[in-house]
Amino acid sequence: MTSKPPKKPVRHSAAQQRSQRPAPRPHPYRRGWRQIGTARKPLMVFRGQGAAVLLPLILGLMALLATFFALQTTQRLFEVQESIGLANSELTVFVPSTPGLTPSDADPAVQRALDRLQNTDGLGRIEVLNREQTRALVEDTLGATVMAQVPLPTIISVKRARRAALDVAGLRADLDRAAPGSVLDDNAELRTFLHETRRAELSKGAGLVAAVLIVVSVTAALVIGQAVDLQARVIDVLYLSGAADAVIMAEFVGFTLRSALLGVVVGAAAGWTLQLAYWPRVLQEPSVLLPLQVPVMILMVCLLLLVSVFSARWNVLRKLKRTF
Amino acid sequence: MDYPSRPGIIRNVSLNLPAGSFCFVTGPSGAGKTTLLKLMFLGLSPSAGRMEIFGRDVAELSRDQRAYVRSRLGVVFQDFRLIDHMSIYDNVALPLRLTGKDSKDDRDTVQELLHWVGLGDYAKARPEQLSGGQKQRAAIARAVINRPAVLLADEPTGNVDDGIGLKLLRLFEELNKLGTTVVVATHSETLRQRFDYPEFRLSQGQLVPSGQGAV
Repeated sequence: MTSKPPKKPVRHSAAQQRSQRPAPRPHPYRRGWRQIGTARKPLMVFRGQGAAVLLPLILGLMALLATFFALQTTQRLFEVQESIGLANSELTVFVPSTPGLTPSDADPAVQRALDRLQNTDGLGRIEVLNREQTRALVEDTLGATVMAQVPLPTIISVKRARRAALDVAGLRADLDRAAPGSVLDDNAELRTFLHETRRAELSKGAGLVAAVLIVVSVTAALVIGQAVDLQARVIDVLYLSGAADAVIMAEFVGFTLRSALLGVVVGAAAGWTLQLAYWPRVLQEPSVLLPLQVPVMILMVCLLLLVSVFSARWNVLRKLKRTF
Repeated sequence: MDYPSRPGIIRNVSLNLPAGSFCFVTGPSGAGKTTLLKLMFLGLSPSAGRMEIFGRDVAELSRDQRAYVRSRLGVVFQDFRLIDHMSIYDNVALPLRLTGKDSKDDRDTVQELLHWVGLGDYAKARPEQLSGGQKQRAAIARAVINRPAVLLADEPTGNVDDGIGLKLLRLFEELNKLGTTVVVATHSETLRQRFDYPEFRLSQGQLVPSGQGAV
């Protein structure tokens, strides 16, 4: 009988020993709280019960106001910009009548002015207004009494070519040489006035929209604050059931977002409809005006939703930290 | 423990609740029973002194860790605190769903628990359709659905008649036999005297000798 050799102790490397040790059990606090903090599916425990149904209603009303005022500002800015574009593209040349000519005679000064205009780069359509058009235009400025005493000038309406550089001072000097006494009006005064109007509209509109947004934000914060109080029972139950602040906040923000989305989208649509009643031109030129209005509406909706979300987060956190 | 309007609502209270025990906290209204329970379920933080739960000092716990501790506690209130727009089933299942559990097994667990508390036929009912005793049983089912280590009940029999109150306490007794530590705050001497469990008597925010509790 042979005896078995005693077993040599098996030596493991440090790495092997580490791998054979049972994995340390995670500390219960570390294991648990992450699981608690991230509920897999939304619980939808907050609902618009009781007075909480006012939340979408009031946010909708706020959206209506904000969208309407923002679209009004957009409309005014568009109209001013359109006038600036028109003023930029139009030139008017006044050529005084040559003394001694009858109305049926061709005026050589007008012909020279037309030749000069046709040979100038950067100009498009050139049109000589007829006597009736001229009389109507000049009569508005000078009045009927003066009109009877002065010979009627010839008015040439000129369209500037798009994106073409034009030396207005040079053209003015050329015209004065070709038709002495002629006046080239490039709407400088009107353009200055329109630019000032645009600046004023922009600051007035921005101020108005900012004021409306501030009022809307404060109202939304107050309404959402009330909604938090109305939902205190649900918040209590969630807290006592072990929900982390993040879960309660996510649930309430979800509820606010659903309510706000409903109210704000309907409110923004109502604001747009109201603006449509003031500016039916949108229906005549939808391809031009809708691309202008839609981003404004989307911006308003997004701003209000952001305000609602921030307000909901702030209110719930405040409630949780004050109560517990 | 201080409230801004009422300092020293609980003073010089020192007690130790061993795991698996059952005890009563008694005392007249305003004695500080609810405040003591609020401290226990981390609804309040002590303004002075030291409180340990599951061997951890609560002052050292972050808000997320406190949430985890609360998930290991079950709380029952006198006013039930059921969510009115949810069915009894959804109310009871809420703590489970908070941990992401919503499998068929979990749904069966809720149904079993509802049967255990005698509400098997009321799963789809709304809280307003139930009597006070039934609502309290639903609240108990919600409190124990996550198998809490500790069950805290604040005047659980306050809104039900003595007969129902006795049945509810028998339910707590069964839970205790399964290993759950149970703390019941009550001012009802008649109910308490029917059970032979330790008692911590509070008076004006301080523990007074009652002859039964280990203070």
